[in-house]
Amino acid sequence: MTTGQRIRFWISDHIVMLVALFVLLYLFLPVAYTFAFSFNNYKKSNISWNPEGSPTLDHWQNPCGPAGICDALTTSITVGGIATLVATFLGTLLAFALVRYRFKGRGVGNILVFIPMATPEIVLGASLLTLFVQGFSQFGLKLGFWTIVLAHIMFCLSFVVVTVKARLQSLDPRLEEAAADLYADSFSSFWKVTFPLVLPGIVSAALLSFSLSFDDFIITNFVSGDTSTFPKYVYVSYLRGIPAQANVIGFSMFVIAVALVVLGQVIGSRRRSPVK
Amino acid sequence: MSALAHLGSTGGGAQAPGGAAPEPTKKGGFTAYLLLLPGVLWLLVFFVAPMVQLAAVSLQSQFPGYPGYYYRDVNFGSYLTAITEYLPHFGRSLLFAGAATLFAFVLAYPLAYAMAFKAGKWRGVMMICVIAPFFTSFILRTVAWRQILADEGPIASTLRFLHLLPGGHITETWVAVVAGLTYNFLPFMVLPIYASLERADPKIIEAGGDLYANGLTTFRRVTLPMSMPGVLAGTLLTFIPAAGDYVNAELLGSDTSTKMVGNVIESQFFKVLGGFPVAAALSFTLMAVILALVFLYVRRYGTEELL
Amino acid sequence: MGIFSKSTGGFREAKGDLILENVTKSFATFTAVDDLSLTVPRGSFFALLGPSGCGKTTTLRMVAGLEQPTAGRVKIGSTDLTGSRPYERPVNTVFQSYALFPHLTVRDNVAFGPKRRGVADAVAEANKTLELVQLSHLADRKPTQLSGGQQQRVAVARALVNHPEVLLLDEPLGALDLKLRREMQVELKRIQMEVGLTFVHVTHDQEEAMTMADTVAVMNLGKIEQMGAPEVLYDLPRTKFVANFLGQSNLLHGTVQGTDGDSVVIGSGDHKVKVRQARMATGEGGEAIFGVRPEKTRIHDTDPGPQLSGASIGPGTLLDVSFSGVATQYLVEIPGVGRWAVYEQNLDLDRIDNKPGDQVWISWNPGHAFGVRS
Ligand SMILES: Nc1ncnc2c1ncn2[C@@H]1O[C@H](COP(=O)(O)OP(=O)(O)OP(=O)(O)O)[C@@H](O)[C@H]1O
Ligand SMILES: [Mg+2]
Repeated sequence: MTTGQRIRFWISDHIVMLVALFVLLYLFLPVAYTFAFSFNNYKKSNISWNPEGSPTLDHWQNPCGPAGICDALTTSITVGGIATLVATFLGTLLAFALVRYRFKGRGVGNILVFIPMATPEIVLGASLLTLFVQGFSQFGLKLGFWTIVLAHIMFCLSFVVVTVKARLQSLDPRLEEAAADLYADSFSSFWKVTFPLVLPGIVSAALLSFSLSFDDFIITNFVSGDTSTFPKYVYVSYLRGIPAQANVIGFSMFVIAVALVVLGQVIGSRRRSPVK
Repeated sequence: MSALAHLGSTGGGAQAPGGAAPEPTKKGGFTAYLLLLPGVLWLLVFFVAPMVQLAAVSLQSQFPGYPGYYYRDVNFGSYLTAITEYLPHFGRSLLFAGAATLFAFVLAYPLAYAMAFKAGKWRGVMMICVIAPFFTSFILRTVAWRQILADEGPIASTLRFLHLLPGGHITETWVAVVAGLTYNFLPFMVLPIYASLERADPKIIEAGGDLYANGLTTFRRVTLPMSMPGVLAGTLLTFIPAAGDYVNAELLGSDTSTKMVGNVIESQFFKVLGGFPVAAALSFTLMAVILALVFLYVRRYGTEELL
Repeated sequence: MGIFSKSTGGFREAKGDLILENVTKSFATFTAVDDLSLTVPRGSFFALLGPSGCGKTTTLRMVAGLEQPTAGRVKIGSTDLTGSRPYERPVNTVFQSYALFPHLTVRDNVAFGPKRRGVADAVAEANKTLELVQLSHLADRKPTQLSGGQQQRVAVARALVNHPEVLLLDEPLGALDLKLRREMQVELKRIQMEVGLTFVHVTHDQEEAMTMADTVAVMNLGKIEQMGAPEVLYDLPRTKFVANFLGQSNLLHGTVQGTDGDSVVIGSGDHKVKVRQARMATGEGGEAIFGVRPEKTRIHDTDPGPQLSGASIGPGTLLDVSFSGVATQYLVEIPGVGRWAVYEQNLDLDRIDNKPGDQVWISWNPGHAFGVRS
């Protein structure tokens, strides 16, 4: 191997990783900014760094200080939780039907699930708003918490179906045959083999649902009326100046999410490794 | 949290070992319909019905002289307004979203490739790094970008100092909007590509390396085609939300020259009295354009397995 | 998936031979198994041998209940199993790709069957069976943490633990390398002798089938071509397919030209060869194929003469000689007949002076020749 080749190999071996790290840095830059400015002892608005008195822990000690911020956070978490539960349940049933059965209308079903994902959020939001305002208001449904939940379930549903479907399709059909061969009737074959094997897909789908719901702004903005979620709170307070407590909460959610995922992976890998 | 990674299969990825995803063998109308019922009902009530309602609104006419009051009609006037008055906005939406998709692809591919083939035990950590920023909130991060790119911020000042910034600003220009879109939808590009690369057998790529001495040829002939389902899913998941976005243009763009269709729809809905029909017409036009593009794109590059 | 349907039928205790009666399986446009009948004696090691796609797996799946025959019956002893569900049959399968449950430990994989059947001490049963396949030390691992050979043994244990009346093995050794394959063949045979169950073993490795099985059935295009003890099958193939599939044969396509004592004369052009009446698979007259195994033949520099008439052929042109120490292999082109092979043990060393291009004759002991249908 010539030196030239060696250099080329080194570059081709490492350049990808270097670029990847650079991209990750890019992804993290605004998060780091958010973190840094949660310590800013700002005067009017949290835009420029005030060297006087910074860094300060004031905002961290009083995260619920600004009116409504923690209510908005609670709403976001509750909406995310409910939407995730319902969407995961309904989506899993849909995925099973679409992957496992041949029936009339399967193609239409697949399209019905796919189209919401190919529809821009703003169109979803606008259409839901017209429905809620012009259709559902007759039944006494006001824009607010429940309309947000209904809307979030709808747009999370397709993502759940896609995620669970992928997992189901990659499942070896012979495993279920093996179960049947080993005296499992269809009931125990489902609960002892199919379900545990699809479960990681369902958990992924649930996590995805929650992240999408928690971070959604566009649809929420259309259907929320006077109710505020955390992203909406930040957007609305943008003109007045976003309080540093939003940075505190945003960064904490990031840390909590990372911690939970790491914890999940550690537990997962411990369960997978041999007991000994 | 490999959740999003499964999205790679939107492009027909995940398959049972031993070839194509098996066609379902079970005939079972009754059970299948029972399983479908709640989900399909939900989509009918909260997706199809609103769309129908929105279509009806887009065809309404206004009572002359009473702004904000409409009657049921089949009037395509709003579509005419939507297309003639807001053509530049459509152009920008597609252009910005296209550019953002391209940039996201360029950034995402090396990251996804590194995660799939180079990261080893760091794979999980990298995956978390890609997804975790979601939880800081999309709005908060976009606002952070506004400050980072601001005139007095480090990047703009440096570029100005080097005389590399002709206009003097980054924010308030289309550059900032495209950068914001690229940033915000990057994870939707990374994860499907990663998922399809991860399923690919590294041995095939090695074999490609044997056949083609040139690394670039190997990539073009072997690696890229294998990750095509992921690339397809990734571009759709980036392009579609980017084309409909208005937050980036609102927070990073200027008042006039960078507004996208989303901004118009939003303001017609919330800020213009009597704007509902035009907003609805804009929404439908946008959706039609996107669906047409998606259709052409999938037909050109994709598989039918997408559905 | 029928989450809501509990089992309706019951488990069928059945003892006796495995019997397939006129079993046919058709897929949409294709008949994979065609009017197949066979009986596998209880406690025997039965090998189903055939080329890829001939319907071996389909046959096994019908016995297991994973597939229902289009026509015909599957029985064990006098109990008709046709139409019953897989979990109702006293039959277990070792799958072609093992199909171990990835989310369960080795022990739980093995205990799966006994637990479903409500066996009181399922785990103890599992441990006992793991001992039989010598895997006790790996019981707490997950299947992905095992080597191919170990996974294969788990698959065997998982089926054996249920003490099925019939154990089906679908190319259980197909994924293993040659050395491990040979070891596992011995191992499987040992286990079968120890537990005394009926084993139906599918393979397309003829050597594997012949060394392991009491009875070999050669299958082709959805039908059984011939069935019997391995040595009988080898010595006296009854069809051209079997003659070529099981080992190698030198063939001569000709017509029956009459009888000579207890032999039938088959002729083609100038060549006339004889086959004992009892070793002919066709009746009088018509087309027939004469065959003899290469290792039953000898090579000559000169015409062996009339005393070997009907048990020799020639002259032919020697195409290739390959010397492999204990034996020499000759390839001879016989005009109007085709290429014949001769394997000769190197008993007398002065014979290796034959060169490609030489004129040679081939002879054999008339008792080793056979005749098959064309
Ligand atoms: N579900 C099916 N639908 C249609 N044709 C099938 C199906 N299953 C099997 N076949 C066909 O039936 C024939 C027999 O298949 P089978 O799996 O029994 O072969 P095999 O003898 O086990 O082959 P191998 O040695 O390669 O495993 C094949 O030609 C196959 O293509
Ligand atoms: Mg087979």
